[in-house]
Amino acid sequence: MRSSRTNIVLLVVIAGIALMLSIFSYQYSVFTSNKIVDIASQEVRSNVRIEVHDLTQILGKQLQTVSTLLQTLTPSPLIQNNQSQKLAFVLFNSRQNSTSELTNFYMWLDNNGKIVWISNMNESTYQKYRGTDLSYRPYFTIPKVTHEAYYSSLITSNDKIPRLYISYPIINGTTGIFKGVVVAGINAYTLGTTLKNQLFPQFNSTIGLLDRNGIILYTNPPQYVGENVFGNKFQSALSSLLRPYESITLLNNLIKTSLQGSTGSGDILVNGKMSTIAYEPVLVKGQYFLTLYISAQQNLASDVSALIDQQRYFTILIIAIIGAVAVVIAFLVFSWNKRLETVVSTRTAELKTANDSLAGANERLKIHDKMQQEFINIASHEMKTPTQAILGYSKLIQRHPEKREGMIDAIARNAARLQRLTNDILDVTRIETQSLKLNKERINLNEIISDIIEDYRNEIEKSNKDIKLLNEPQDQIIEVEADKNRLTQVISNLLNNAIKFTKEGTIRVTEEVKDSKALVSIKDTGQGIDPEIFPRLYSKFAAKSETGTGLGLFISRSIVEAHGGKIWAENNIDYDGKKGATFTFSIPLSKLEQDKQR
Amino acid sequence: MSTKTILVINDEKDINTTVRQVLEDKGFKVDSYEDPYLALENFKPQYYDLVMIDSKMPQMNGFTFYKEVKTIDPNVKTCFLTAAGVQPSHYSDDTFSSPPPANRFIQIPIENESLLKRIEEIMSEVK
Repeated sequence: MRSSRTNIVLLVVIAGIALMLSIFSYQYSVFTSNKIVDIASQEVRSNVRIEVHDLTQILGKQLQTVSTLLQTLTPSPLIQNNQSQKLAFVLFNSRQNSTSELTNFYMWLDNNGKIVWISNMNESTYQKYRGTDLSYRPYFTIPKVTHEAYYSSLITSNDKIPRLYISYPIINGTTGIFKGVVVAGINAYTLGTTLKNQLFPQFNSTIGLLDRNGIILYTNPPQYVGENVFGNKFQSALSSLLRPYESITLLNNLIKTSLQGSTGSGDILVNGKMSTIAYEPVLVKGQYFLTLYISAQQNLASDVSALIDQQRYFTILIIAIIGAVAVVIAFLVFSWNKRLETVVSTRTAELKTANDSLAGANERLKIHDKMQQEFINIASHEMKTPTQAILGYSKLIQRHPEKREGMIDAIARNAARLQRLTNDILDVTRIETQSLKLNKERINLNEIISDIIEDYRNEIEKSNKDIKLLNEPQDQIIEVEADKNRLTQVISNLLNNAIKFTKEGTIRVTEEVKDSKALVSIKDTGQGIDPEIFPRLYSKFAAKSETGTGLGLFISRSIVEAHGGKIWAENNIDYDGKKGATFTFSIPLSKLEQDKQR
Repeated sequence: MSTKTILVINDEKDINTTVRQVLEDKGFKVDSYEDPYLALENFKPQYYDLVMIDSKMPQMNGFTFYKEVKTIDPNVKTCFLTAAGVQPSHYSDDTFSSPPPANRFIQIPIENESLLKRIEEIMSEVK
C-alpha cells in the first residue's frame, strides 16, 4: 500500500519533469527561432538597404554623367552661335551614343523653344520635327528664367512616352543672353528596366521609382506609370491588393517620409508575408531628383522560421517520447518490483512452510528418539528383571535344596517371561519392517475361543483371583479366514489384559457375526482404561500394568489390521454395577461363510 | 556385632525373594515389601540399617519412595536397585534435599556375591 503510493508519486514526478523539460525546450526554441528570424530579417533589411544604396549611387552617377554631358555642350561655340550644322549635331549624337542605356535622346531648342536638333535624327525625321515648338515645356521655360539646370518631373511627351528631362540653358558667356536649352530625355520605363537589370538576380526584390512629386516613374506592372502615388487610381489599386489595411497606411507614411528626400526603410506586412522596403533619394549635382524603392520579401526569414518550427515540434516530440518511455520504464520497473515482491513473499511463505514442516519432522524425530529411548529403557528393565531372578535362583538353589521345586518353577516362569518378551520384540520388529506374515486358513472361531478360555480358566484358578470367565455357547458356527496362531495371540493378549486389570468379577467373551464380519468382544469388570492411556492405547509401551512390556495391544492391532479387521475399546458405562472395559475386534468371515450370509 | 536390619522394597516378587534369601544367608535381618505404600505404612524410624529401593515400581517411583522415607527418617542409609538404564543424574534435581549418592545405585543383573559385596561396602560407609 505504502509502496504503491510512492510509485504513483514517482510517476507523477517523472511526468512533471518531462512536462517541465518540454515547456522549457519549447520556450527555448521559440526564443532561438525568434532570434534567428530576427537575424534573418536583419539580413534581408540590410541587403535591401545596401542594394537601394548601390543602385541609387549608380543611377545618381549616370544622371550626373548625363547632366555633365549636357553642361559641357553649352559652351560649344557651334551651339553658342546657333550654327545648326552637321558638326554641331555630331556633338549631340555622340553624347546620346555614350549614354544610350539611359537616355532616349539629346535635344537642342533655340531661344524660342523650337527644336533645332534631336540626336540621331535622319533626314526625314529632321524635316518632320525641326522647328516644333516646345516652348511651353517646363524644361524650356524654367531654365530660361533661372539660367540654371533643370530636372523635370515626369512628362508625357508628344510621342506619348513618359519621360524625365534634364535641361541646361545655353547662356552667352560674355553677354549672359539666353540662347536656348539642351535637353536629355530619359524614358521612364527604360530607366526602370535598367535599374531592374542591375538588381542581384537571386535576391528576390522589386523596384519602384518616384519623382520628387510622388509621380510613379516605374513600377511593375507598368500601368501606374505617370500616376501620382497618392492619387485615386493607385490608392484604390493598393486597397484591393494589399492586406491588412494598416499596411496601406504604413506604406503611405513611408512614401511621404521618403518624398522629403530622406533615406530609410520599413517592414510592411504584405498579404501575410513581411516585406522590407528601403528607399533612398537620387541626387544629381546635389539636387533631389528621384527616390528609388526596393522591396524584398523576408522569404529567407520565413523559411528559417518554418525550419525552426519543425525543429521545435521535433524537440517536443522527442521529449514527449523520452517522457513516455521514462514513464513506461518506471511503470515496468514498478510492476517488476511488484512481481518480485509477490515472488519473494511466495518463496518466503514456501520457505516458512518448508521450515514448519522441517520443524514438525524434527519434532517427530525427537518424539521418535524419545520413544526409542523409552523402548530401550523398558526393554532393558523387562529383560534384566527376569534375568536377575534366574541368576539369583540358580545360585540359591544349591544352598537351599529344600526350596528346589519352587525355585525351579520360578526360574521357568522367568525364562517364559523372557521368551514372551523376545517374541514380542520380534513381532514388533516384523510389524515395523512390514514383514509380518500370515498363514491364513479356514478356522472355526468358536473352537479357538473355547480352547483359549479353557487354558485361562486354569490360570485364573492358579492365581487365586475371584474371576469368572464366561463364554456363551453359540448355535452358529463362525468360520473365519485367519492365521490360527496370530488370532490366538490376539485373543490371549486381550484376555491377559482383562485378567491383569480385573481383581474380581466377570470376564465375558462373546463372538457374533455382524455386517459379514466376525466380532469378538472381551468385556471385564476391572479398573477400566486409564483416560491418560486411552489416546495412545495401541502405541508401543502404552503400559499401565504392573507387569508387561506395553507391546501387546500394538501387536494385536497390527495383527487384526493385517487380517483386514479393526480393533477398538471402550469403558463400560455400567456392567454388573462395575465399570470395566470392553475390547472388540472384527475379522472377515471365510468366503464360504460370507456366501452363506448372503 | 549386632544383627543388621535391611528393608527391601521391590515390586518384582522373584527379585524380592532372591535378594531376601541372599541377605538372610549372610546373617542380615530382612523385611521385604512388594507394595511401597505398605512398606511406608509399616516403616519404623531409626530401625533399619539400610533401605534398598527398586528404582522403577508401577505403584510408586523409587525416588518418591526415597523422599518419603527420608522425610520420616532423614539419617537412614539407602541404596537403589535399578534394572532400567536409570542414571542418578536423572533424579539429582533440586527437589531432593539430600540427593542419593551416585555410588548407591546397584545395577542388575548382578551375581549374588557381588550384590553382597556392594551392600557390605555401603553399610561400612560412615553415612
